[in-house]
Amino acid sequence: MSYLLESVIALIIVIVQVLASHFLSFGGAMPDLAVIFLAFIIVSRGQLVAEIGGFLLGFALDILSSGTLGAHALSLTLAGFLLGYFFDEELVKQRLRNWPFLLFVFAASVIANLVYYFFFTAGSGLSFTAYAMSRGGLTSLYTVIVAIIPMYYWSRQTLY
Amino acid sequence: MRRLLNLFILFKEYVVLTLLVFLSFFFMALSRSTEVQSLRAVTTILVGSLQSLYAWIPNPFVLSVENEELRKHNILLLSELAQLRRAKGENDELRRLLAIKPRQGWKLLAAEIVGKTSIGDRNMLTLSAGEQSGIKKGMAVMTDGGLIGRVFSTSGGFSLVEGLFNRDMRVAVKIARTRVDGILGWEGGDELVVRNVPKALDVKEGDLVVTSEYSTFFPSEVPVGIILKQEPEPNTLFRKIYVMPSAHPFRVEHCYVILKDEELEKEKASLETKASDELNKKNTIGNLKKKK
Repeated sequence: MSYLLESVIALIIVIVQVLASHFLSFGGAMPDLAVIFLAFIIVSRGQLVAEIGGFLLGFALDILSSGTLGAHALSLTLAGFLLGYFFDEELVKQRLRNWPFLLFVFAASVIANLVYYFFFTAGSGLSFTAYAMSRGGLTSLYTVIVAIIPMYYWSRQTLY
Repeated sequence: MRRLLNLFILFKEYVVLTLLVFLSFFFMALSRSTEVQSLRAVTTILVGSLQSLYAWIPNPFVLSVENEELRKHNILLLSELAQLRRAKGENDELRRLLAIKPRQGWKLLAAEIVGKTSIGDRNMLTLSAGEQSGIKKGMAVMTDGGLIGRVFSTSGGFSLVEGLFNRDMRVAVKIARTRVDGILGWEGGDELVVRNVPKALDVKEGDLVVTSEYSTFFPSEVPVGIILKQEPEPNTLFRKIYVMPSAHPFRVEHCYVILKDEELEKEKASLETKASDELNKKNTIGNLKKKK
């Protein structure tokens, strides 16, 4: 997939996440579509592209969602950087088609949530651990469940 | 130069990471600046326009809950109305006797909620009215039930509202029955919390919480919620009060923006100026006496 097409898809994903957040939310949590796309970049493109992609995805989310500018950008950048260490060019297709993709989604979601909630709760009187565990845990789980859809789609595609 | 370039290529991931982290912190520092607020106004228009495209799609669950709540409110309001009419007559009479100026009424502007956004626990509502209708940043937003938030940013035809369930939200409130003051905020969960209320003061479960006249953003006496429970804060003289909000921002389709009354604002400002002048006078006299 070309970078241009990926950028367009990323923008659509961010817009859908912002516009449809109310319809997708369940029990106060909502699937993080941006994290699913970031996991795809990590698995298919490697560390450098993942951290830049994470930053751009997060920044777009910050602008459109009226959150603290830079908070999502930082959390997704760090998630892309840390998980980029596990990039393996030879295992791209196998990973996208199987459970390792869900593992990447889960890990990216946990890292991004921990970083985001750290800044979200700082100086507000909210308990970081309690908040990250309750909200972050549910969001990560929900995101992984939704990530099964693209994983299933890729598993139906021919490998070579 | 070549060696430096080689070094950059070797550690490019770390260099880029440092740059991006630095940029993120830079943007965080800029988050409340005027430039970013202007950007927010543009995104409010963009998101609001897109959300208004599908706002006509009814959400049956929300509508049925809202209708049920409205019916309950209607019954309660009818009985309260009779009592209030009598109380208003008495109040007007007493105010006249005490020579206090009658309280100004609220100017309400009805608006449709065209979008509800919940990203990373920042709950925002998009309203179908903006600057063109007289809405300004900081104005209070309520439903028939009570307060739901305040205007965060505005554009020509849309406004973005920050809900009560937001970590940055602080509201000066008081208990309607006993006039005990406190600061209301959100600490996660489904309830709002009032802190720093002394244990000795009279507060009971079921008491109504309303906005206080000390609030700079909200007009006084707007219902906020009902006290659910209270618990003492360990090793302090204070207690923590849990409040169930009267209106939930995510369960309504329409709301009202309380337009600030210019005359009332001017009156408030002149009173504040008078008070500060008097304080300055007192300080000056005190200093002169000390010098003598």
